[in-house]
Amino acid sequence: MTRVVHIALGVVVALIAAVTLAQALTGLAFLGASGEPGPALFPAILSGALIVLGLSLALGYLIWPKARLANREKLNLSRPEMGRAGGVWLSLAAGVALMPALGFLLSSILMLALLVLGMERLRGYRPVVALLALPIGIYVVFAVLLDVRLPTGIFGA
Amino acid sequence: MDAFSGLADGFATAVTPTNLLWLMIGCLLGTLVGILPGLGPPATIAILLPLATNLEPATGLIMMAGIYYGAKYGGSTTSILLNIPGESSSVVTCLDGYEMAKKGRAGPALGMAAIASFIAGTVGVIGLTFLAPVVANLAVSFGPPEYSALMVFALLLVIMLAGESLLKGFISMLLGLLLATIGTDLFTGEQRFTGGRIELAGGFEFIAISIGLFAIGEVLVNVEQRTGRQIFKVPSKLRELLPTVKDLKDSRVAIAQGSVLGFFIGCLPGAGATVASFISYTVQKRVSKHPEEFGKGSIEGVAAPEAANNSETGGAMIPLLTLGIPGSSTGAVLLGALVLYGLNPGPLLFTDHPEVVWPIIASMYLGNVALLVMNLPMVPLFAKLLNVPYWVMYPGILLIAVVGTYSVNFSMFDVWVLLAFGLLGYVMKKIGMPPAPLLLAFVLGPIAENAVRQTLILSDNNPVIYLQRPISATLLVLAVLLLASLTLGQSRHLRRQVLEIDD
Amino acid sequence: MQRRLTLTTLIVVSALSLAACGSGSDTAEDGTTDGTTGGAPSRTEVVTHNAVGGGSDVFTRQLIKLMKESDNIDRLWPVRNIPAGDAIGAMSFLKEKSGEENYIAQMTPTWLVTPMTVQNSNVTVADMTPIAGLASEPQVVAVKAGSPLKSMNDFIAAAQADPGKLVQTGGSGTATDALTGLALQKSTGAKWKFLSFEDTGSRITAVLRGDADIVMGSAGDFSEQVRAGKMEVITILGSEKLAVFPDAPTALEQDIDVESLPLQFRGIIGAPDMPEDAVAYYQEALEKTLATDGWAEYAESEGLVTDFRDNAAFGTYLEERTEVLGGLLEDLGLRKDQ
Repeated sequence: MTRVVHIALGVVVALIAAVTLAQALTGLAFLGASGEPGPALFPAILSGALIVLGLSLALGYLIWPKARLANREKLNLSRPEMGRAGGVWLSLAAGVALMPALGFLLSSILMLALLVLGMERLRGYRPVVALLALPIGIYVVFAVLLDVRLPTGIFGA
Repeated sequence: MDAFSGLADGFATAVTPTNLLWLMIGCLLGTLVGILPGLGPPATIAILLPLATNLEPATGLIMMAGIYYGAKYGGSTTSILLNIPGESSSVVTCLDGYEMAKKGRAGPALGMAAIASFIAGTVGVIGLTFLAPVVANLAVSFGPPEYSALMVFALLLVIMLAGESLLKGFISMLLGLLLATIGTDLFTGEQRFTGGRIELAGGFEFIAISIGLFAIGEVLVNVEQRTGRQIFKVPSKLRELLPTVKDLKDSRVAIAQGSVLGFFIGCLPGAGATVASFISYTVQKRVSKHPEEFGKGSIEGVAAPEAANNSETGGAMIPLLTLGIPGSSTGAVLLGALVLYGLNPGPLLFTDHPEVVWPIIASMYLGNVALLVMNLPMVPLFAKLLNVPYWVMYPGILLIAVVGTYSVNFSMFDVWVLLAFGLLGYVMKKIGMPPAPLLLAFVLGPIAENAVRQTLILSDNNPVIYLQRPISATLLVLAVLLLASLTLGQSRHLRRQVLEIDD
Repeated sequence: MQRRLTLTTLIVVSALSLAACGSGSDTAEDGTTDGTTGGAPSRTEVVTHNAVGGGSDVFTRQLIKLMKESDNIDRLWPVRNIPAGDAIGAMSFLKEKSGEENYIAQMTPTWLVTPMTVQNSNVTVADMTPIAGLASEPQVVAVKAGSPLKSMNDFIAAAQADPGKLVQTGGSGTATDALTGLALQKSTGAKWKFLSFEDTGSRITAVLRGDADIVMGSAGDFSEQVRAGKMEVITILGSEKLAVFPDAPTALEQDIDVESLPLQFRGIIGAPDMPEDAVAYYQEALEKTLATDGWAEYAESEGLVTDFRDNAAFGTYLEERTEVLGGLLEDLGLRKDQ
């Protein structure tokens, strides 16, 4: 699994770099008015180097014998664990997506509800107090005390 | 007016009740602002400008200097406890500070941060007091060739943070450099890789990337396990909540070197505290007796960057007060404040208005003492914060990250960038790619590229200019030496890895 | 029993928080609760496209201070800095506030130029509501003290003798000073290098170090350096002398065609479709302030030439300048929006 991941990583990096290189060469000037470096020079060099490195990474893991890889660090890639992390990230994204519509206070309460009640599966009144107290507390500190304008949605906060 | 008598007069003015009061308020505010990610000294001072202009010039500026200083002290708190860089200059403190917290050594880390900050901050102000004219000349003679040589040197140092896999470290660094090119090109005004989005016209917001990569990435890694249990061990004995004598002895070199480096880098306009703290960290790693501990919780790895980013404040005030040229974004705000007070910052500020300048400098000494006194007793308290169960902490961290990022530009786009980099940070941790090179390259990249292009414009594409100017020549020689020692070191490392296989 | 407790807590706390945010929204900005009663706008904010400490930012704060000191406004208006995109960010913000009376901005020619150098800007100054033109800020040309160049003509002659050797330092390639340099090169046939630096401080040190021969900017940028004897101003790129640099010759005196050069000016515009009485209110407050002694002093020390234009005249002026600048950009091959 470690091996496949590294090969995939190398290929992905090389691909992104290739796209960037193409964009740089077509859209921007390579050299400036009097021969000095233009806006495309650095991005081109960087993406070129990235292509080389990405491919080396992929090739290296492809052709090295398994024995050598056994000594390198193993990656910890367990499905259920990554699933939990993904779930938390999605909850965060959902909260952020709702912010322009519902405003900071409501969407953060909803987001915390998703996290504390949904992901962590905690029950009882303590989690509920926490998921209400945290957004309110942060709101008070930032929006009221520090006068930072937080997103306000249709309900006004 | 020479330094001693000026300073004496300055102290006399600074020690009045009004000025002391506003100094305290500034320090307190600054610490709070430093703790909260996103909101930085520039924004805070800007918010307070209307209030400050009602005060006497000296008083108002003393308060603002207090904020500037306080933020540096406060920024390390969230870096160490939560891996959230509260201030852009505290990013490097996250590297070892957070690791120490995970091992139950949050107290010593926080305490060392405060002590190192105090010593270095004082050194910085002493430098400001006595070396200002000399250093001002240095600041002027630092042109594009010198900056680009310094950046090459710094980028080489970034490689040293690569950790296990050199290749992945390099990729991380190159990704950071590439990300930095997104935005508007200084020389031609053209947009690069922005896809027409205005939000990208100024490039990615640094705070969004740093908090995303470090704080959110870390949260995502931690939530993989069910979070009923506590993540960190928190000792309860007071002795274990403060740095030990051994810690202090071990960090002597780090603090000394950080103070000096931070001060000199600080006086170079545009270099900034992030560059200073990072260079000091990597230099310390090079000279330390235990380099392998860096990145795993070395106290030197906390002392060095914290020292550097505080003495940098003293250095950054030099171009501001002697030439009227701000050395950093906070400096620019202070410059604006000076103008609003009717004091025109320029080479004549010291001679025209010593009654304002010297009290500010004097209050910087006092501010350092005040902040040490305020912060040290709070260390055990802050360390105990980690007792909070993680299922409460991490949603709080996520919320603060979002709010902090939003508060920089009031832009939801930045928050989405935060999320994207949070995911990236998680992925990078899973595949063993270090995030620090990406972030640091992102900071150094624009300075490096602009400096190189400016140099080549000056010299008509002739690289000989680097050798013709003494400072850049010296820096390049140092860089070559560093490269040589790195390759020798790495080839030993590589050889060892190769030999392992053949067993 | 546990369930009911949870539910009750939930309801009570939600009610409390909704109440809190209901009162909070009086302090939070949502744009719909300010008074549109026709009286003076009560929650004015002034937008600028610089970060705090930049030229426009400092000017705006000074202006507000002068307005308050002369009692033309009742409180210090807050300044909102939107540096993203070189004025495009600021204009986008204003566009979002269409129809409202509280959002005005201090603008410079950058606001006209940037949309023309970008391929698909969906905001331009033409969308905004002109309020008043305030002053023009003739650029000055500065050199290191002791330089052999004594006038702009000296520099141009030297550049013609040695094309591509001399260095002018300035900001971004499409900033006013860059455009001015390019325009002069075109009209005189001289050729010199342009070295871009992000901020004024770096440009000044470049000149002091000897990396650059001249730098253009506003009078305020260099007045302190000149006073300290480190720099000299050799030309005012305008038709009138400036009191703050009494010995500097004007471009007119040197037979340089000033009309074709980009002129730096400062004016106030408002959000699109701003109600008429708000526009009138702002215009009057500004006009009165510009007539005070405080302003006259400030203008003189900063090298500004007061040139008040009311909203109609300013609107026409903006259209004119857009044409001139657009033509200049086209000639230089920098125009991207067509």
